[in-house]
Amino acid sequence: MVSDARTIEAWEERAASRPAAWEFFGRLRHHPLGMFGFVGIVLLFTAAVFGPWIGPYNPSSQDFALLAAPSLAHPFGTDSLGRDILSRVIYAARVEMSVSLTAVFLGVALASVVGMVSGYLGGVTDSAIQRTNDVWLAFPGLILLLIVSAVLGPSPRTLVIALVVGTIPGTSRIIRGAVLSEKNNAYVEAARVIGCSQLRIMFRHVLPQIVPLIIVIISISIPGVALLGASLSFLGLGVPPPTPSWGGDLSGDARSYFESAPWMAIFPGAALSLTVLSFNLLGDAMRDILDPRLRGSMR
Amino acid sequence: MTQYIIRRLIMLFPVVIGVSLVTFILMRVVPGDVARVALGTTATEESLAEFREANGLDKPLFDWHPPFGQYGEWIGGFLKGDFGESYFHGTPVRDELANRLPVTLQLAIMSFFLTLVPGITAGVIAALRPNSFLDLVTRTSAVAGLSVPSFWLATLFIILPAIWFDWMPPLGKVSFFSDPQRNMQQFILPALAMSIPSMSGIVRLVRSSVLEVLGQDYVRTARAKGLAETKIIWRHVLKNSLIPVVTVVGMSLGGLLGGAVIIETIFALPGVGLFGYQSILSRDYLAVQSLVTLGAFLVVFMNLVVDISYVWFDPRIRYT
Repeated sequence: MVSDARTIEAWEERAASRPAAWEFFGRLRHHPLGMFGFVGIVLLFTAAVFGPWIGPYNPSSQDFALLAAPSLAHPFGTDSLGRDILSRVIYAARVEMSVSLTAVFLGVALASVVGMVSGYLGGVTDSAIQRTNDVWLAFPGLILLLIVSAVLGPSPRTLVIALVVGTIPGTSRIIRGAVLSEKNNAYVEAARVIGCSQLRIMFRHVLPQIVPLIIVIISISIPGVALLGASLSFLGLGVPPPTPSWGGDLSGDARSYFESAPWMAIFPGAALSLTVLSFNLLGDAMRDILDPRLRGSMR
Repeated sequence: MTQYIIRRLIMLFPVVIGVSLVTFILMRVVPGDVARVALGTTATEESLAEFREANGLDKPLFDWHPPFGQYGEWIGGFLKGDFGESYFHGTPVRDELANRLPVTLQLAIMSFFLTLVPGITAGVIAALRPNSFLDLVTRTSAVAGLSVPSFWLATLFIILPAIWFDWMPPLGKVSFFSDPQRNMQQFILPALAMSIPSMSGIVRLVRSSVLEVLGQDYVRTARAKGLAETKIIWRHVLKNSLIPVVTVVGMSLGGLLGGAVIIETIFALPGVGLFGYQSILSRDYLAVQSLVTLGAFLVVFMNLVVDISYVWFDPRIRYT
């Protein structure tokens, strides 16, 4: 041990420069449920990215074995058109994930801008935005999304738009609240005194302060949005039929075969449930780890 | 307080009118000719024109002169309780809604109790013994329940009994008063499918809320003065920890229509949700406009009820 002091110094330096993500995973290892969620999401992304290479069959190619029960050749069975359900479940991961994640990121980004502008500028701008928000939030649940999807016609792009429309009002209101309380801090006043523009204060000074909140919002929004998206597909207003999707494969004509071929209903729904469960568990873990104020209450 | 309520009630109108306007415009943007959808592809040009005229679809959407275009005509009637006629049923929208309301109402009441009673009980029990085995089981099942889509749950509720017991819940609906047993068979599964996700949410909410209240000073004071633990829980902890629950339940009651759409579709329950869904798909303008506007009224009204109920739960809150 020639240079204890130096070793310690180097170690400390490394610890200080260690990215936050690293520390996050360090903590996650001691969070079994969070770890479960993390593994689930890794599997999910693997399926979404490498689906075509993992899936044993083409999801739309038809086999002569219609409504075949799960077997070695078709582990999840086949549907009424003889399509392999395992392949469809794997392929669906891609469309489900890209739709949900795009919708969440786009929705939360737009909501952040709206919330920041509304909260920071205040006055007439704030009133105008908040009254619009009131109307938006007054639509009963799913109904607004159903109407928007009906207007645009079923497609993955429509689904993203509908989900973004559903995300903005509530989320922007949370962001606005955070900005309102952030606005009263001395650093905002200081920035204003030295002549920073409003845009600069909003995006360079206030925004970094609410980034942790935004991350938590993103992580807790994903499962809900994934469920909502699947529900719209289920109602025939999301991903249109020939494309494999967990919600869509449970709806329409397929329903008349469920009693004789329950695997058609069980596997897509189970895949969706496990996805949402994984995101929920990882979201809980992230909140426990990232937000120490909540750590006590959820334990 | 009265003044506050009156002011809130007045503020309710612009919001509801706003919703009706947005719905009106969105529905007109939906591609597809209503007359064509209503009369089918074989209809002649003449009968299409006749249909449009009979339903006022040839008039301008908005107009400065009475009756203020299609919107003005509809909203004027709406405020007087005349919602117009459904293009597809050929009956007054109000009668259609009135016929279907009992179904959705029964579903709502049943799932309300199925959500709250087990949800609050399990949440409190879990919070009283944090990190115990029971707590772990409760929390895990709550996350699981939260992650299961209600449409899948409902689907399983139909096919699993069919496979295991060769029993199908009778689809459709009979009145509770004419055949209570059959009525319950029809409603219990939909109500359960509807309440399991929200019940799971309530469990988590109650648990964290009770844990927070248990750490408050007044609970320590109550314990210090020797109050029985059961009394502390019932009198002090429960009431205070239910405030966030009231918020969530009030809002979800307001937005009930959305959940009803899915469940009623699957179980073929002829309720308001199914009616709304079908009306959107078939571009039944007046039906959608009326239903959404009424739904928005319910949402805003429930928010008001929630705000007012805070006063009862927490006397420190005062509105002026």
